[in-house]
Amino acid sequence: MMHLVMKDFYVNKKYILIAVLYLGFALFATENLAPSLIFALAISYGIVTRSCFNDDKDRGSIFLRTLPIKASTIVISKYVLGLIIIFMNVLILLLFSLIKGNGLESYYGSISMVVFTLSLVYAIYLPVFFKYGYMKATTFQTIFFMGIMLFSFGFGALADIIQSISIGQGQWIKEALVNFIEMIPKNSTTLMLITCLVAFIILAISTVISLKFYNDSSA
Amino acid sequence: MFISISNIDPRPLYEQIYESIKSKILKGELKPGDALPSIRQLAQDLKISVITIKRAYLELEQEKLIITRPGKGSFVADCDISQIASLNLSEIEQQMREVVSKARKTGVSRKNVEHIFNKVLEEEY
Amino acid sequence: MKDNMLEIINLCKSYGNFELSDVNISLPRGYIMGFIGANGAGKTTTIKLIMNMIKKDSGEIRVFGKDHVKYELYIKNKVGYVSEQPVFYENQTVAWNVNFAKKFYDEWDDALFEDLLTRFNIDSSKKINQLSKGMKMKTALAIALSHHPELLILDEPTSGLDPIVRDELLGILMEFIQDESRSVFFSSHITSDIEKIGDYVTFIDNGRIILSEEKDKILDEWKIVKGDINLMNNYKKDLIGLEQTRTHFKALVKDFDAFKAKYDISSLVIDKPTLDDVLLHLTKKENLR
Repeated sequence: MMHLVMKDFYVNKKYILIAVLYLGFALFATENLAPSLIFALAISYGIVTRSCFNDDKDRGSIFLRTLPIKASTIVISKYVLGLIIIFMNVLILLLFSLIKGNGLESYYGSISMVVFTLSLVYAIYLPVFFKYGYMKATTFQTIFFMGIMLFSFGFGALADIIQSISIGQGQWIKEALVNFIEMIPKNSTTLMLITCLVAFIILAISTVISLKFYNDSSA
Repeated sequence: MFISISNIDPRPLYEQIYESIKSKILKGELKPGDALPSIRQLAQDLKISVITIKRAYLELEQEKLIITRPGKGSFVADCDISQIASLNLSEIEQQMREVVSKARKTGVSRKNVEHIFNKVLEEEY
Repeated sequence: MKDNMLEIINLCKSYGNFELSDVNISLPRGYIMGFIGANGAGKTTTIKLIMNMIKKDSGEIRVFGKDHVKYELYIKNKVGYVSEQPVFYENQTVAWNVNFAKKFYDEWDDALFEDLLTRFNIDSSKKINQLSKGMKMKTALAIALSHHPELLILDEPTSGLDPIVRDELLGILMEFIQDESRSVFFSSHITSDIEKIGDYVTFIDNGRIILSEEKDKILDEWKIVKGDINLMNNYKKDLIGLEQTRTHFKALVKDFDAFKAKYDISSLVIDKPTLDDVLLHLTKKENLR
């Protein structure tokens, strides 16, 4: 199975190399972590989708079906690829924290965010890929992300509307939410670990779904 | 060992192989005890199906012309001369029959056939 | 108990317009079976089902006596498969593809592979998408042979290839079968190839098996019969896939010895059939039904 994962890295060599260089430059050129993080997320997502592209459009997946490889191995290798990339992202953050000497705790939020976001994104993309193939998965992903952007804009707008209309009740909800969020210790190790756990559970469920989809499909 | 087979020949392939080997035995080109090529080797040499060769060898075996020893291969059997002679004669009779039949089918008269036959006899003997 | 390399029992698969129904095929160890049918008759579908590249609806497939799904890995290790249009990671070189693929096989013979590459004149530093069709097929065949398979399954290996390459391939298959523990199953619509080296022939038409028999039996016992159109009705009952023109008729006859005993054949022209003839006339008969 590791051969499959290694193959995915090899086939995307150029892409990964350029991306990492870019990332390194971005991280150390700017003080601000945020834009670099978003860039890292985009690359991480891109590596997995590109490996799916290679299997689908480059006809690799048909080749794989002729070799003595279990269908489950093929599916799991994509998730392992995803996990490795998530791990690499965390490593980069740890490295960054060591170099900047800011103390690990302040990065817990970023780590949680990265792990959770990537897991969620892979967990949604991969089953779609395994059921419908690369083309449809790409279409789906475009629509999905547009939907999220619209949703987050819409949510903000909605919240404003609620706030401006029903000041009394809206206020109460808003305060409760803020209190709740402030109650959560931002720098707690436990929180980060819980977030990661939830993320992996989501991935695990996604794996099961992908396995079922791939097994039911015809090559 | 060269075996003549032809696609144009109306006889089944296995029969052609059978006849070819048989004639070699009768003519003495293959002597008792000589080894025949393995079935698969011959199939490869002639580029034809293994089953075809198997059938030919089976016929040869049934006619007691060859013996197959499991694990060792097929060999020309010890056939006695009188048997060879009688086989020879029946083969010649068959060939004559074929020629005469063809003559008849193509409208050659019996007189013409006799004429040609005598002419050939004169030349050969 | 026959030692069957490949056994397909009542295989069924439906796809939109096309249906494979009740396919039954048996291939004993040590022989070559040709799988003949028109384009779209179901050859590739059947083969893909054997390899579990698509899922069957019902029926059983056993390779080396084992169920083809349960023992998929074991079977794929011992089966050399060449698909109709061989696929690889197209943008990578031959060498890369092979280095990748060989890791998955239990037995891989590097020396044999190198030898085959030389024999086939393949440059392993070339990218797959730079190879011609014939080269791709030869590459796939080299890979298929190098993991010491017991069964070769080839889907239209010779289509689109020149006669020289086709002849090379037949030579390789005959070499392969010298070891009588191996078998070959190959589909083709170039029937002359199967006529040369096939031991068994299976005909498929419209998703159904119309004949599966020893090749010799077919070519020896069946005949093509031609005659004056005015005499046609005398024989009509036993004529298969009847073709008529203004002046003559042509048909296939099964079990010619029986036919000869039953009818006066003196004014008929009798010919040995080719496998093409058999396919043509048999499928005509099916259409009449």
